Amino acid sequence: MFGKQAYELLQEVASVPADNLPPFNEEAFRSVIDEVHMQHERLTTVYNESRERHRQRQEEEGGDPEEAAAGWQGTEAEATELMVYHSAILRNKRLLFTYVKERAERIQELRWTHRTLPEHVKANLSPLEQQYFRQYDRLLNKYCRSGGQGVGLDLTADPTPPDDPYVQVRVLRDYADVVFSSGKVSLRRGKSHWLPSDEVHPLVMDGVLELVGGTGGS
Amino acid sequence: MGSDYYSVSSLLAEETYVPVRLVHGCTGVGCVIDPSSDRPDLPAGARLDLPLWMVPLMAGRNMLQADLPVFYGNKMRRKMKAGAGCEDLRVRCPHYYTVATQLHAAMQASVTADEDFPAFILNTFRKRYKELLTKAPQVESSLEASQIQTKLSAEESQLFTAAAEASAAYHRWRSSGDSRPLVRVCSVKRKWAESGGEGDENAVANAAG
Repeated sequence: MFGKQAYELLQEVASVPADNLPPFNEEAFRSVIDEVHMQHERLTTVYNESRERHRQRQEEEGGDPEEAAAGWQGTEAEATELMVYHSAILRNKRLLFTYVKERAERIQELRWTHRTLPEHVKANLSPLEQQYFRQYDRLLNKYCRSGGQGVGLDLTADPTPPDDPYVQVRVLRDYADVVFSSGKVSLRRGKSHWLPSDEVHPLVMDGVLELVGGTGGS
Repeated sequence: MGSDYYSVSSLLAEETYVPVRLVHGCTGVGCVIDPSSDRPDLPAGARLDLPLWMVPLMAGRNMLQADLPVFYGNKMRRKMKAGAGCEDLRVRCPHYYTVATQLHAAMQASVTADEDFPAFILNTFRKRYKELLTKAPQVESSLEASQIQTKLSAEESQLFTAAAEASAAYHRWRSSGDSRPLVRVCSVKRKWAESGGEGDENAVANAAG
């Protein structure tokens, strides 16, 4: 059946969780495009053959071939065949668009939640997608910077408004001594501390700290 | 199409197969659209299953007449009447309602629409929605939740998760202690708003506070 390959391609992305991406399937992507080319070729062949037949018939009847009316002159069964090709091409196009768009949106989302691309995702991107991420990264950085057109605020720092300026965190792995505005803290595995929430956020993203309890928004 | 052109779930829904009858038959593509046929041409009136994405375009041009698949048929309607909540929609058609609306639009275009069909779908949804909404706040383990969700269609599953999350958030708010001043405000408001029946509600509010 037409469109099967593109459908499976989209399912590759749809079946993995939102913060991950499967490798960009260049091979399947190309073969879907080949399928569309084949359908287009068949469509034009059938269409031209039918026009040609109609023209010959008119010539035999002694009419003026140039006068042939525009529009469809073939049989209904041939029209059905054309529609099958036509809808399959549209379908394939839509599936490929969505495949690319879904991936681009996830890359964008990762910039907001993780700041950088996790290694396992980065390896799965196509060169164009990596370029897209770099440029998006640059744009967002420019917007967050102060001065010029920037807002002077790191918008990705904390997506939920904090209930309390201090949060309780647990240290997941040994880390260096860090100076917070509340004082110097040496982060050792298994310890838990009360720390200013806006300052611990980058460390939580790096996986050094873990928020304890429901406060501060996870 | 339109707003959900890029929506993954609607693309997945359109892969559902629907029984159709070709009005004029077709040439050339017989083997492709009907795997059981060994000839490239199909006669007029041929019956086969086509994916939903192909149906609306062709139904609009009167090239085919769409029928309702088994999971919208009379037997299913009787079952739904008996107990809509018991049916396992995920096995039958994971995008039950999306497919229903699109298919009905296509059938209206080719004038084969079933008049009772929209009412049936609406009733089914209403009954099942009520049921899942009452179940969602009572779910205690993720195992129980996944057991219920295996029977829901993809659309219902989303609603179910939303309902469960909302009730969890409500309970968190109730137990966090922040709710006390708010509850008091609420009870004062109620006294103003209605004169009768405030006794029970105040009792509830006090118990909560």
